[in-house]
Amino acid sequence: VTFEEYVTARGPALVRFARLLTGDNHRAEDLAQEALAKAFLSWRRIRRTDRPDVYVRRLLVNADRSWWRRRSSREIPVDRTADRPAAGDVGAEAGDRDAMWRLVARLPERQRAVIVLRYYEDLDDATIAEILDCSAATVRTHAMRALAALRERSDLLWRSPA
Amino acid sequence: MSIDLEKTIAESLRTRADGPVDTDALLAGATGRARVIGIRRKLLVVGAVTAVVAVTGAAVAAAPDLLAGRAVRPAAPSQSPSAEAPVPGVTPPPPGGYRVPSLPMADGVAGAAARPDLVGTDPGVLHFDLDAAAAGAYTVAWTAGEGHESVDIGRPKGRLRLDLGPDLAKLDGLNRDGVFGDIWDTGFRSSGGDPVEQPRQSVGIGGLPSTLDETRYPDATVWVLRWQPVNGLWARVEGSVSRDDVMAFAAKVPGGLEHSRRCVVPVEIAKLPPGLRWTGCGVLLNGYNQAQAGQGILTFANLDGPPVSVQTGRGMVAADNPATNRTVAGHRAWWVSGSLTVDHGDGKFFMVDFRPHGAAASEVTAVHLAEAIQLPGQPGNPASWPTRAVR
Repeated sequence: VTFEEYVTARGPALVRFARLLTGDNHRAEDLAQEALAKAFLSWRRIRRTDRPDVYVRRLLVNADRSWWRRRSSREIPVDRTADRPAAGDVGAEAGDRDAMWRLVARLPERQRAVIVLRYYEDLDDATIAEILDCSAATVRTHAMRALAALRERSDLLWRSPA
Repeated sequence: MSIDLEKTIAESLRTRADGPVDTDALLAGATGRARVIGIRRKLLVVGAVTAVVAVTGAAVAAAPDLLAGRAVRPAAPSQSPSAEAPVPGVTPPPPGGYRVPSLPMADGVAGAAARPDLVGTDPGVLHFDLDAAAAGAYTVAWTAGEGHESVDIGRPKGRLRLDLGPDLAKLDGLNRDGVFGDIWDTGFRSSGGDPVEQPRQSVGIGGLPSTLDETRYPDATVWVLRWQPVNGLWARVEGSVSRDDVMAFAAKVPGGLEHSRRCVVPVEIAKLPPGLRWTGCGVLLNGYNQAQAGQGILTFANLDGPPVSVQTGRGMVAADNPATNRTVAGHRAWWVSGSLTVDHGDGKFFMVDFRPHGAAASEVTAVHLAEAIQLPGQPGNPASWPTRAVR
């Protein structure tokens, strides 16, 4: 596969992945460009691996981490937590999703990356470990902590009066 | 209320990520940025070590962490794409060999031997000198201010670097990838194999005790020497060429502390806007293309926000981008992603950026600083640049 073919086929997924890592559409496009630029320079090597998605996602995650290291705040930019819509509200499901995203956005960087790779990219722990350059056990630990935090916070949020 | 947590997570992520993506723009942006990286590699990549140094006329939206550092160990040589074909990425020498321009001497300014306490305190002065040409330089980058002074000498194969300062831990912690940290930290770290550190050795430099650390990578070895050439001053030499080269380079350091040079860039700021304080200077010179020699960076502390940098150099991305969106002091300008690039004509550009890139970027601060900037002199001739960038 040529680099151009790869970007055409997989670029949109990469940008969407970056949107979830950064919480910022402009930053996501910038990050995806940055990762793809690096991939372009090493494309002959990357395409030989027959798993370019793993390598490009690793580039993107590393670029995001590099960016985060330079930020004073590690919380991605989201508006204040929205109140959950009242039960029976036609927008309740959308409200649930929106509220959940805000909780995901508040997770520590590595936990958020694991959640996105597992529940959006639908990757197994071994592949996630490869992308994050850690062990599968570490991935499971991050996932467990993230889910526990999300469960606790969502319970609190959901119990709050409208 | 009971919810299916994992289902809600997956749905929320899909909803949040959804939206159109312009793949043409993505492809153009990625390849354009890759070309810029390629240009910078041609300018700077030398041999088997990834880390070059600190200064460039950066064209991408990467952060200019020139003088602030994080990496605490030598960069792994095999991580660099250049390591696959190091010499082809190096511009061949012009007739007569590489000739890297020199920085002007700072006559009358005491060197580090006499005033070690001044090292790293004045961004306009390097309190040492080294004959880069004698070391076989292909590119040379000098940095001053922010608590240390450094010279990084790139050669067609390998690299030598000297860092001076009062705080050894700071020297060890410098980001020797400089502004290129965002480029070289590619995530292929493991492909280079694990470094193997050898037992520390005790050696002598100019009759003074020194430690020598040796780290072996699969395709190169990095040596690091540390010693105190003068009371109150640490020297750290890092090299990847050979042990003998590193030792010979270090042996020249004590003599170099007798002299001072000026850290100059093709920039002049007659009056800094209120709230800014000049903290750092870096200049990159090359020995093969005078027209491109002389990219620089100045860094500033900012009382009202994150630190600011000014970077100069030819061939910035914005140079061939007609879609300007600002005018600064009558010049075409681009305010993009929290940085301001200004075109002064005749191929002279500069960029005002924040450290880290995009950190609470203030267009007002960037514009005020940009309005105060002049780009005098010839691009490749440090002798034609102001003897002090900030008055």
